[in-house]
Amino acid sequence: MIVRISRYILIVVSIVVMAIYLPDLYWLFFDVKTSSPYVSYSPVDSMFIMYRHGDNGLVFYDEEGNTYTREEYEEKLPLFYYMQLIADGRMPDSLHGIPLDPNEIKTNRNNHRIRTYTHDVPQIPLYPLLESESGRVTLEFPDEFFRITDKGMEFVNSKTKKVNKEKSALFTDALKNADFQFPAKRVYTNPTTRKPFDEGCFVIDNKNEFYHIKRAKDQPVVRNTRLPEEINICYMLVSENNLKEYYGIIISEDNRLFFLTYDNYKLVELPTKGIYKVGEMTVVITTDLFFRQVTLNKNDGIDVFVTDRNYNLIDEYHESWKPREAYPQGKVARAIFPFSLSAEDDSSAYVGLYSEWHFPLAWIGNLISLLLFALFVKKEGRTWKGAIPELILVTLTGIYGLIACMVYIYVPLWRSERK
Amino acid sequence: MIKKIFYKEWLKIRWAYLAIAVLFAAVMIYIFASVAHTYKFNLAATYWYNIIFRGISFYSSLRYVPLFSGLLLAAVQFIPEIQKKRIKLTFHLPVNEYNVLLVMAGIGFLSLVVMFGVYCLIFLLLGYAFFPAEIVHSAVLTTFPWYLLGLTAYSLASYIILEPMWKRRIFYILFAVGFGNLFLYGWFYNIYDRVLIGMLIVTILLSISVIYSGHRFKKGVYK
Amino acid sequence: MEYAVECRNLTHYYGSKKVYENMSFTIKTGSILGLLGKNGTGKTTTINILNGFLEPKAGECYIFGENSQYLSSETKSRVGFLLEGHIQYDFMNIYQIEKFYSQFYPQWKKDPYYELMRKLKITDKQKISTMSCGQKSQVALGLILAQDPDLMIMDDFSMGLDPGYRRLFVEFLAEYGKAENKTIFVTSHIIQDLERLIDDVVIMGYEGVILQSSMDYFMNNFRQYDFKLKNGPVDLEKDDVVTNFDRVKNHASLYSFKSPEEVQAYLKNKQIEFEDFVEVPMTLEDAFIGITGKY
Repeated sequence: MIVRISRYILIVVSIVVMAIYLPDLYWLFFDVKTSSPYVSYSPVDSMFIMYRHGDNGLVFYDEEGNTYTREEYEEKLPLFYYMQLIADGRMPDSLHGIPLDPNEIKTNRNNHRIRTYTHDVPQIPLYPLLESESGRVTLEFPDEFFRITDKGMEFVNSKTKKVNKEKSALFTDALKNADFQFPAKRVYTNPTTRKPFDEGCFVIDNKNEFYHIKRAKDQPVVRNTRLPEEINICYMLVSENNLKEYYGIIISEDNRLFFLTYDNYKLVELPTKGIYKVGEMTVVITTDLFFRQVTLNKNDGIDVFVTDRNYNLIDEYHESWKPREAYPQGKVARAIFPFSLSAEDDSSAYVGLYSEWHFPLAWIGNLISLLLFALFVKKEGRTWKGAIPELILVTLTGIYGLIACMVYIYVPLWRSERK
Repeated sequence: MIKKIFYKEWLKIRWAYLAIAVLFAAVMIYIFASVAHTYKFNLAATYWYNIIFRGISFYSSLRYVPLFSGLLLAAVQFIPEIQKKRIKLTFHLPVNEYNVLLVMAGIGFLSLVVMFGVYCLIFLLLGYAFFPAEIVHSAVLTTFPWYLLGLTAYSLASYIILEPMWKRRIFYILFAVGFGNLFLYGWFYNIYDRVLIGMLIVTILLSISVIYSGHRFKKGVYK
Repeated sequence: MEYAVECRNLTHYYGSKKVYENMSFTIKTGSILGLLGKNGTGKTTTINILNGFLEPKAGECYIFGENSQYLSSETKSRVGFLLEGHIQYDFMNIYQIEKFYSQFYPQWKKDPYYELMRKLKITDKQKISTMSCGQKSQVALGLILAQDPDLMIMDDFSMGLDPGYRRLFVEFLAEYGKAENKTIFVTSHIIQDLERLIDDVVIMGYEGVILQSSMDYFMNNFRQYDFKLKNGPVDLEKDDVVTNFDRVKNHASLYSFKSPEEVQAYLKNKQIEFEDFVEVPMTLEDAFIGITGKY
């Protein structure tokens, strides 16, 4: 019995190993080249303009198919390439009657990227709380890190590893006064000194309310943001920037994107028309003097939405291309490999066993594998009855099961198990 | 029987076991001496920041130590058994052949568990001396797959050594390397947290692999 | 029990290469059987089957009435086993190895072991791996003597041994065999060692068993006749009378189980003229070569 168990364990493990590596090996040889465009909205022509990597370097063109030189392309995006245009003396003074002041352009220019897995990254629950009103020109990194446990908010000194009781009590009381329910479920912050100012951190408490906690002149500033109840936060990107229009970007559990604004924590929804899916798409959000742009990048396409400064949708762009799975080699792969496994996935930074199933096309390969295995069983002179579990396994796992059952060859316990 | 077999296994593994203990001790000393050094010469807050937000670990030199330990132990325990097919002597002992194999593999496996357990505890306690609980617990969980890899490597190396045919050994080695690689994805902390239980179960299941190649040896299957 | 070992209809192949087909032999309890054969005729295969390290394609062996593929611990403890080349756990020293084995055998007799060890010029702490072939053989022998098994299986005990050690070994075995009902199964490629030792003999050729008989019968009845062929070279096919035939020019050697008269009649019958017909006395080794041929 234990001989059989040990064999099946080895077979199953090798099937998993093959399902992880063999499809990758296959694609190493037969992969398809796809290039996604980099899409921007030109304030000059009020249309989408883009570039992509072609066979002979970068290709610049617009949504109507006109192609441009690199210089022409840059001139259509003065809010992006203003430094280059100024250096070349090509920068216009104004656009549509609005003066183009380099400082204004810079202040309005923000670029935020949220990767597919950013919402699901492990985090050691210790955070710095920067002093937001130190009176110094630059921000300074504090010696203390805080945690928010069920007992309260604790500040731990990184040098002495001791808890600063006074400060911890001060902040815990402030949180209690604001009806904060300990412990914190999640903390979002932007732990860097390379930003113009500090907005502290945003915290989901134990009853799912969303709090804003700051440290000003070593005193706690705690506010309940009172977000609408239907908003369940999946992720928040905190970004202090000089535009001072929003604290950051919030992704809700129902795949919506918002700016959390300085206007009393009002949420402004960014247009995605229900296309956005957390974990599947990389979001790039840019702001500039004229527009707000949301770009959703996925494996097989790109969706771009542009709004004016008041967040009214003014234009959108959609392009999709064949994913490699839709090419003939993709179909062959699905016929050969009944499934593929992966320890990693775009949707999470955590290791897991992520699977992708290729049925019904995979039955082709599985049945061929079954046939080959049946011939092998016959050649080995085994009884069909004894081979039933393996025949089932090969039917379900195809090429993987076939290789596994042949490598971990059946060794009879008793000779009578042979014909 | 366990006590009787243990005598033989211990004679084979004792020096390697001692070497592993010394290696672990050296790595632990190195890790925490480096930590103490960093605290002394760098800003503690920056150190914590690097650990927490940049995922820079202070214990990365531990990564391959359990793997090496498992491979070494399997080698010193099972290579003498297959040299000149000495395992025939073991199979001829007046005890059940499969039980002997299980006991042998179990002795090696548990010796490693004890070694890893002790050093994991030392790591935990030394960790507490330098870091807050959050960082220490994250470190222990992050190193856990490495210990499991050590145990898995021991089990897989043992059954590969015991396999009588080189042509099969090559496949076994390919699978084993592919499988072992799954324990070493990424450098960020805690990314294995969700699969630790599954990995633990597979590690325990694989500890009986040696039965399969032992059975092939016993039945004299050379194909 | 009449037979300590019974092997019935053994058939084995390595891939498509036949080792033997339908081989049967028995070893009477209390007797010593020698399995002789050239390299590659399946001596070790037989030993492996007997010890349960190889499952034959067909047929089975019984040791003390138990199928050798599934020997119980009790039966295994009654069987002493010497591996080809006197292989032992050579990472142990002579003290450790005695201590290790003694745990497994209730009737363990350490005195014969240490008696033998004292004759070797080694210390208790010396690892077996550092010993000479001869010394290793004595350790392996000592362990088997201490185990005091009812059946000893020895795979090519003379391999790598000096004549002195070989003699020692044979003497020990002969002594042991005389003791109450001990059965011994030996293979060797140095035939002369076995001459005074074995009671029964099995000789294997590339096609299977050539001969199976008692030593007495074999040595008394198997004969070599030399004669000169008068009418030039003639070759004889093997048959009932001619077990083997060997010829250099006109000088012929004929091996047979038949009497001189019968052989001469046979030759006359075949109209082969001969002269100087003599019976040549043979050692076991001569007989072995006579029956298996030189190649």
